[in-house]
Amino acid sequence: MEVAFQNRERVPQHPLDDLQLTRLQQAIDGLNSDQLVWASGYLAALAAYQPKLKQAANESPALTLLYATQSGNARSVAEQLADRLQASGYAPRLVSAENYRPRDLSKEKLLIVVISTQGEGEPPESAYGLFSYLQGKKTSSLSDLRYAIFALGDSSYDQYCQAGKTLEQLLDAQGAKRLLDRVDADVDYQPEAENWQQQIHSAVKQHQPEEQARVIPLQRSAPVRHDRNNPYQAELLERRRITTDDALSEVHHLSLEIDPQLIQFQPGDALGLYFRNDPAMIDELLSITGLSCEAKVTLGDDEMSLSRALCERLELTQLHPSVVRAWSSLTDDHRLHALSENIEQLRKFVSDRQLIDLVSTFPADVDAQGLVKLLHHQQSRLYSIASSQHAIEDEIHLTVATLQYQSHDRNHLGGASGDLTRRIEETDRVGVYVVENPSFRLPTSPDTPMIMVGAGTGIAPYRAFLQQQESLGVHGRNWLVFGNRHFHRDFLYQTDWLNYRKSGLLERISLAFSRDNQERTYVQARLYEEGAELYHWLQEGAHLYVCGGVEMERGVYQSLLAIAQTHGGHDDASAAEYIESLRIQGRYQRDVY
Amino acid sequence: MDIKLNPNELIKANSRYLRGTLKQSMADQASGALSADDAQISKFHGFYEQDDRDLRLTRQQQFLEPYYSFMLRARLPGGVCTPQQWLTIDTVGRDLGNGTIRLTTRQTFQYHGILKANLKPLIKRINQVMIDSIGGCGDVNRNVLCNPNPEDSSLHQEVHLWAKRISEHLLPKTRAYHEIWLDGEAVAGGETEPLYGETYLPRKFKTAIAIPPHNDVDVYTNDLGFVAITEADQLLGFNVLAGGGMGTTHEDNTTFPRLADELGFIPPEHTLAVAEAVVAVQRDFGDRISRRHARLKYTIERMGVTAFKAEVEKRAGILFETAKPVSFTSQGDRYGWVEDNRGQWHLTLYIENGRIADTPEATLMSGLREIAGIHQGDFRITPNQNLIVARVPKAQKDRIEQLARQHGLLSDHRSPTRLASIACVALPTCPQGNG
Repeated sequence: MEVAFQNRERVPQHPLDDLQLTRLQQAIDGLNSDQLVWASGYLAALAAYQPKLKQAANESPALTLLYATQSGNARSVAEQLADRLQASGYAPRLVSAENYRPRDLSKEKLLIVVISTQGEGEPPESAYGLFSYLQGKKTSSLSDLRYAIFALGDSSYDQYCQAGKTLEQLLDAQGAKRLLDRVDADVDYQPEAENWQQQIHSAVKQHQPEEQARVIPLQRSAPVRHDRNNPYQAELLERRRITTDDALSEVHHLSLEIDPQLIQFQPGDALGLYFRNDPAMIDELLSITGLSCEAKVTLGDDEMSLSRALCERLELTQLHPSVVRAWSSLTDDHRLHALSENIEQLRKFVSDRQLIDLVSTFPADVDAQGLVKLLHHQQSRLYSIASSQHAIEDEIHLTVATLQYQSHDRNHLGGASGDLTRRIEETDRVGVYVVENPSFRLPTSPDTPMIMVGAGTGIAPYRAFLQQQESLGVHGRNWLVFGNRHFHRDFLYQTDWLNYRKSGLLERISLAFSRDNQERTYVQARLYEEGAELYHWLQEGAHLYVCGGVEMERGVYQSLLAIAQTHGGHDDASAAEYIESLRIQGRYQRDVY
Repeated sequence: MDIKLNPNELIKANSRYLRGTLKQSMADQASGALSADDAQISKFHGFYEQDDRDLRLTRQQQFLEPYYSFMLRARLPGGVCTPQQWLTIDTVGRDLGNGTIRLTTRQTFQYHGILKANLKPLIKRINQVMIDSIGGCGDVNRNVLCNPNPEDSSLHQEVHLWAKRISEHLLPKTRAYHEIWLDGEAVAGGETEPLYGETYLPRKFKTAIAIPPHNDVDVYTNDLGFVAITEADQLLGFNVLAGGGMGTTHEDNTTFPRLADELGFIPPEHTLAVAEAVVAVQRDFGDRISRRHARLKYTIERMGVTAFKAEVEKRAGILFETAKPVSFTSQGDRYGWVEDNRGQWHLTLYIENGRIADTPEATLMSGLREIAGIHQGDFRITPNQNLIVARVPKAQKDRIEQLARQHGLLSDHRSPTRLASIACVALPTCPQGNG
């Protein structure tokens, strides 16, 4: 397999475009020769049953499912819908927004979009191209198009589901017609999604009788698919703290064991995982509410004890405004009632509180099922994977910072990070699934230089990148830019980077440790200082990666604008265009949280 | 036969007169260490790379490199410094070291726990009071010892001057130190190292001057020794000694301790020529294959004293006279107050293990700082890691004693064993320390 992978640049003339080729390579990476033979036979058979497959790529698909996702939720909803439609004999084209050619919109008949909203009402990065096409001048009429939108969001933000709303306006403006009205879904979106999928299914049936649909007789060959609804139980092999005792943040390195036949991932992917809530906190909740841990409750179709529901299935640590509102209705407390009316104050209220704070400050009478009903289902948490499967086949490494804060006379621990770094022990199991991150990928050509910018645990995916490059024997020019607090205390994976530098895989390491000096230097400032070199690398075709918190990412973007002006002779507008052009070329990739 | 030069020889030869890649190593933010070669070269600039051995394993588990820091040893011929210099030595230790100062048996001071980024500022600041660290360590002449001799201050002054002259005469001539640490201009080329050559000495080289009847400096254990010959407080010249050294390698019986041979007497004006000649013979005849056998004592063992002496005479262009009879009757410091023949007072303070720090038990560092603030004479670091507050006028004697007692520098309750004890810094930093 490795041979085929390394020779990819020498593959003779073929009918696949770069993206298709990359995806094919990704799909077959890791197969042994028997599996490859089987796969080639499978593909040949497909071709035999689909004589027009080649043209089909250029034809307008009858039904397209488009998703734009950041955390993988939108993708998962779209996949479920695709499965459902396929089971009824439809052949929807399932495609991520960044792989979708916007001008194909005019050829579409039925378009179903699942889209999440980021930050202040922005679409996920993968949908930037689609949005700017629809907002631009080159759009053509979409009067033949029928569409439906499932918008994911978080009602505690002002711009709730804004990306979905904007997309709806844009499509309407071009004359597109609605298959169904837009559905907005909150953090606890699964029930809505289930409902919506049924509606879509019947709506599609009405508009496109099955006999007209092209049916691909694809049988899933994988016996088990592990996704958010069916997580894989990975065993914790090892955990160690990798910041010193006097470091300001507590960061742990975790190694999880997985079966490489069942779990596959690429550098850049994230791991979604479920966790168990703190038993001490559950005991306290039960004691305050006077509920029995044995009380029977139902969650969906499952019946279980209250303590199990609280431990494994419900969200206790990320307090959502809607939970506060629901709790408020159980009490006579005027302060809480007033708070529920004011979303701004409510957001502030939940920002440093967990359920336990709410329940202990505002006691209320509630029965077991009532409590379960007002709580959200536990949302899985995502962590960038810090290892390469090509290098270490059966492990997944994670870099986890313990979220802890003191507020309202109580020490708070993050749900997942508390469980992962304080509670679970070696040989315990964690429910996990891979969340693909196709917009954060190694360059396809091994010669392409990489500039990897990360702050704090944002450095994790670069460890996967370089492990992969090393195990492939690839030797590009690579530059790591890392920021944290103290050189001696929290230089995450320092010895790995030094070894990569020694072996020639890392050419340059730039660092910003904000608490080591008076100036409080952050990565964006370091980037600007080294702007001439950075611009030079970009001119040589380097890919630029940014991973970390949203503020860091904004700072880096400002530095890039300034660098393009100082060293590239751009003005305000053309600097922004320059960076946008890098993004469109896939040379400016971000993973921001 | 397959004989290989010791790898250090190649590092020196390739270092462009002790520059190596120190500038790059210093600029590298990703590691607190120097490159392996630069860690060798740095010794010539006066500092050793060390790491906290207690933290090695933990940090390895944390994907962190060892906790590196540096020990810097100053060049301070005869251990003499002024109160003004002491104030700077103190401040620098607080600001850029680990907050302590260590006195050494080679009459100088060391800073420990200096982080890489602080090395350059530290060297710059001690340079502002005319102290450098050139040859603090490394294969060159090290700090020159001189009997601190509180009883006879005029003689001490004269002999101390010779210690300074020898130290300066045997300094490497490379501008590397100035270029790297003091922002001196880079030398365009054509630089030479007339005495040492580009590979310097095979091993460290120690020089001491003793003034009989005191042998505080342990003159017979140095590579090169000078014994002052005096008559009625006038310096007549020196008996020259060569080839001493007490070091041995454990379980290697080809290594041994050795006392220096007496080469003969010289008048003062030949001192520098003889010192240079001894260094040059060691440069040319010393063992550059085995560092264990590279000290001058092994060179003399191989050559024979007669041949060695003849080679030195030839190179220095002198003939040794017969050595004058000398008699040493004391070694070690005389604690407390001593009055010299000019009516000045000297206070020898016992500094346990040479360690000057502020601890809950005693505020030695602050005490010395306060004394330096009012003291008008000088300080002398003794070869027994102690400190003399020298040349105190009678009028200030009480004030200084009061400060010394107040900060625990002077106590009447120390046993003779404790007063005679000496210790190396050992764990966790010294790579030669045994735990």
